[in-house]
Amino acid sequence: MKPLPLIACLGTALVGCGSLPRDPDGTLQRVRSEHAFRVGIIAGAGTPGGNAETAAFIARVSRATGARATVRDGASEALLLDLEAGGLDLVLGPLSPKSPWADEVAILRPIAEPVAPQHLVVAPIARNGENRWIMLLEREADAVARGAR
Amino acid sequence: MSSLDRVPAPIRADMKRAIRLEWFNIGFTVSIIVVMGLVLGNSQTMKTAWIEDALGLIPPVVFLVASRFERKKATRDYRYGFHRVHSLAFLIAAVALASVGAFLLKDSVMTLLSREHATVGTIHLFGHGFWLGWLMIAAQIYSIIPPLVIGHLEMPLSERMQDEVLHTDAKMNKANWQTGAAGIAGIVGLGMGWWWADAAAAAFISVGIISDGWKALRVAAAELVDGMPRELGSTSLDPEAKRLLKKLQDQYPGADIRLRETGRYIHAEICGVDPDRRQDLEALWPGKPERSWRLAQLSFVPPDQD
Repeated sequence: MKPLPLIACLGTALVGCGSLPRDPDGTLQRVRSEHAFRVGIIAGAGTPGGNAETAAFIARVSRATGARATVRDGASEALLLDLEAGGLDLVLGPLSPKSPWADEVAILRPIAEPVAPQHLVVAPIARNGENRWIMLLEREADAVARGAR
Repeated sequence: MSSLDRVPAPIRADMKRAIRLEWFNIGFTVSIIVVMGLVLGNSQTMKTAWIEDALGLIPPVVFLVASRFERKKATRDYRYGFHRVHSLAFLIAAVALASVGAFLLKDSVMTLLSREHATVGTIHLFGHGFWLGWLMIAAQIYSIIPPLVIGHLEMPLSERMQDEVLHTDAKMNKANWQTGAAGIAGIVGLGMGWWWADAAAAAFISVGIISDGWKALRVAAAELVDGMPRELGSTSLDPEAKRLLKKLQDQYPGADIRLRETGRYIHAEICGVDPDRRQDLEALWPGKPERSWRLAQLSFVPPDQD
């Protein structure tokens, strides 16, 4: 492979990359076009009405996307399986970075830190690779975390 | 007497340049390893490129070690001198190159089979959130430039010096910049939503690297089992060695002529002939006179001792 043509190709590709990243499965695009996103809350992590940070986070994501959240509670295993299968767009709750799920889903920066004994962090969890959606979630999680401090 | 004593001044100057170049190579590679390590994130492509950059240190290090030994004179315990350290260094460099290719192929095939979607999130810099992919691309661009330049400088030097280790390092540098380019394509592809792009590009490039590594391994093995000298970077027989063999066969018909390569040098053995006169190695060399230094030794084995 010759370096110059390759560099030219890469340069051309980079020029057209203003809108990067995009989601392989188009999560953010769908959320915006359908004005809806599906949230699972791990039981015990609080509900939108019961946990200030979780509620604030969902409200911020709603505002940022112009979409309405459909929320349901459940056990972590069931919710994460559904997230992986594309049945949910977002899961909120405590999940250890050492959990076997850590490689299967994207555990984002936490929005709140629950108290002992487990010291698990409440974080948004998204499907791996949906990078545009993940960027938006991270931005809103940071805003909530800053407000909580 | 050290093996370098018959090497002409221009080649010795090339060797000094190659040693300097390898120190630069090590310095830049270490800086690339640090920069890439800072932006690894969750990207498998970046992790693979990082491991490859670390493996890329092996050929320049073994080259410097071998060059140091080559300058040493024979000792009481090593009476043949240290020519063969170069052959050993070549084998190590060849294994490193082949390993990089195999590692890259395995990793990319696994990524494709498991349909792994890499998550690349954001990073905060100067109060703003950026997609980490942009930093990864910047790191990959930095990782491409030194091996591209150093590899191009090494190639002609390795040909003049007949240096397989340096030649393998030039190939390793080629592997590194190509992997970096595949890495950029991969991160851009990831950004475009094509999760398979980086793995597919890496798998394509790994085939070439494995082929170069396998070729280098075959030549290194041939050198270690005293096979006929091979052409630089190829498994074909060295044309200069073939001409030398023909010349010796003409001069000593019926004798068993054996040629072998130790590092950059050729040793010739005429078996079944009494040493009749002192041969002039330079006059015997059938190729260009400026490369006659390659013939380091000519020895005779009388018929009753073969």
